Amino acid sequence: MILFFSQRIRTCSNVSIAEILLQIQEAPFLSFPIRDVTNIRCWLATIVQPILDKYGMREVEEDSGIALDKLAMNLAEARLHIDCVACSSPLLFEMSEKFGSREGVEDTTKVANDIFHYIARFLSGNFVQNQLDRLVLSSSLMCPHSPAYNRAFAGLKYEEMPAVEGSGNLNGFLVAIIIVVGVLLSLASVLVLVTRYISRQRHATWCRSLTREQFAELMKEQLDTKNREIDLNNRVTSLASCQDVPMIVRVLMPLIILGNVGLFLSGHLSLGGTVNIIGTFAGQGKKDRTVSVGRMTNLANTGT
Amino acid sequence: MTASDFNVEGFFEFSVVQSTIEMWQAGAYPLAILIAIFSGVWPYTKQCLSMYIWFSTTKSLSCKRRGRILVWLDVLGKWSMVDVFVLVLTLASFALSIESPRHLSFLPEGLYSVRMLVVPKWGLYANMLAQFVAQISSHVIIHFHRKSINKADVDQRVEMGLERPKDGTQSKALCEHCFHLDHDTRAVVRKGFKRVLISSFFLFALLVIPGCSFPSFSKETLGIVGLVIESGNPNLEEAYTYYSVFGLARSIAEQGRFLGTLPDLVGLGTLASLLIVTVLLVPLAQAACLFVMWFVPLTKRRRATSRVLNEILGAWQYTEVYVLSIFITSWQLGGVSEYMVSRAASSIHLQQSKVLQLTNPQDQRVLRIP
Repeated sequence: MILFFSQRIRTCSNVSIAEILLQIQEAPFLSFPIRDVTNIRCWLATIVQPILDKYGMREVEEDSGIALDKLAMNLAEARLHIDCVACSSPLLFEMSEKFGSREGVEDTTKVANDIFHYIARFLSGNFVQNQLDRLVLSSSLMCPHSPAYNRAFAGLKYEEMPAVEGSGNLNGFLVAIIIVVGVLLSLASVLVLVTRYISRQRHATWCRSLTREQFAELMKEQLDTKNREIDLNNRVTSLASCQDVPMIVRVLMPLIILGNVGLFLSGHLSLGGTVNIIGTFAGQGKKDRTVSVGRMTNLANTGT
Repeated sequence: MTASDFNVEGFFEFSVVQSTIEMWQAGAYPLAILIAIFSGVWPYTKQCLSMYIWFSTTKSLSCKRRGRILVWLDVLGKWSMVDVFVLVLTLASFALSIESPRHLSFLPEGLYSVRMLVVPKWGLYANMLAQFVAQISSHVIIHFHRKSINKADVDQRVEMGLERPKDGTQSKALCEHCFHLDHDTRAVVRKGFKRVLISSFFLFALLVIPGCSFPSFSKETLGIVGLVIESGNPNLEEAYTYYSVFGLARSIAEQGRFLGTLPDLVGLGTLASLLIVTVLLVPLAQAACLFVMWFVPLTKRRRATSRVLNEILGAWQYTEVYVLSIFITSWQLGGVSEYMVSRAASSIHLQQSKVLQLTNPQDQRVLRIP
């Protein structure tokens, strides 16, 4: 669907404050040759050069050379007009009306100021400062009358920034889990061993308390049990050839196990899931997807 | 200006093998080993052992040992479900929704919306299906193993002229059983212990139900995506989402309805049901079964049936698997989300995090779900 609209932004009382600190070297400034007066690089070369590390970052955080400070922008009122020329979406008509309302103007002004505040913070931050530092540093190499002038200069080269370490220490987490599991397993093992030891001790004490006839009877009983176990082993065959297992199960079970191995392999090698991104703008496709979108609105928040 | 719906399918793709290899390459060795053991080694080991047991004679593997190994395989079989649960948790965690801010009066409600969701594919369903088949076949093998032993035992008693075990038509509660300690001495369980057991059962139920109702984990979306989500929240609330077992199941079921196709409806519906059944209902049923076995007068045959039922319920209760999966997911999700974006947007050099100063150091990336 093609939409055409024109937009106008009218601002009132736009206030911008910026403090730019320039530390200029006296000697290069006073001996500035007339022939380079139009070369901006040469003017930048007169500024005190910052000291950058191997990553191209300032080593000292002090304001030296060129620095952008106390940057602030503010709007007293921002009024945004949108005129729909050929809009098919009802939401864009609605939006153009809302921009003209008093609440709309107030909110537009607030959002514009928030954005300006954000931009001001961004411009006062390290990123812009770093670009300015590099500009100053490269200017001395590009200015023909500068002592550091390099005709074959092809840009400053710095090492790549090392990747930022994640906040979570995975190995520490694993060690914590291993310690907890290890302690639990050790406790359980100790408990089992102690219980067995106590049982054996009690059994030994009980055996000692028996008369010779009773003990002999106990030994015979134990021997009979062992013999019965051996006999039972001789009677029982493998499950694959056991007559008590229905024929269909005997035939199917190995096939099921093999099939299941195949299923596991398929599960591990095939795609487990894909991340899809679905978006809508200005109420397009609203007619056929109203229900779905309505349901989906809280999909990400249905956790609790 | 073009305005229309957009649908980016396959923005990122998951598979167990691929994810494990990538984890290894990314240096997350412990995690890769953990996933490889639970999802890679264990299911195949179990299947191979089952096959060996099925064909092994009692000369190479005694009846007693065969029974023990089968029971252990049945008890530990659930651990191969870890990768399915991890994918289910990932599925819910990646469900992101960016909505146009409602608190700004100049924007109509629902002006724009962008949603990211994980759509399960055959790999997940195949794993789940294989797990079901593995557990059911394990129960069947145990059943026939016991049947063959019982038959041999009866034959042996007849041949040796031994006394057959009492038929056990008389009902008796296990809590009132007299244990023969000696020729003369008998022991019964103290009455106080009964109260302790009753309290434990109720406490267990009381802990399981709120445990499934209250959030078990939360998700915070950081980075630029997090900032955009927050811009759509009332009062610019942080992009936090809390998940309980019920919430997770509801979220999965909702996603199935949203996707709308029959395979997704069935597949995601099964996943949601599996979660509720194995993490909530089966543990409660197992507790009830144990309660009945201890306190209710049962015949010997019924007690044996209850014992088998308890064994089956124990194999199907996945609470501990769910808890471990939460640990693994919360551990790997941050890295996966960062990796996902860095792979998809490798051409956009947004990684100059030391240089790029945004509002918060945590937001110096495109997306991170810790």
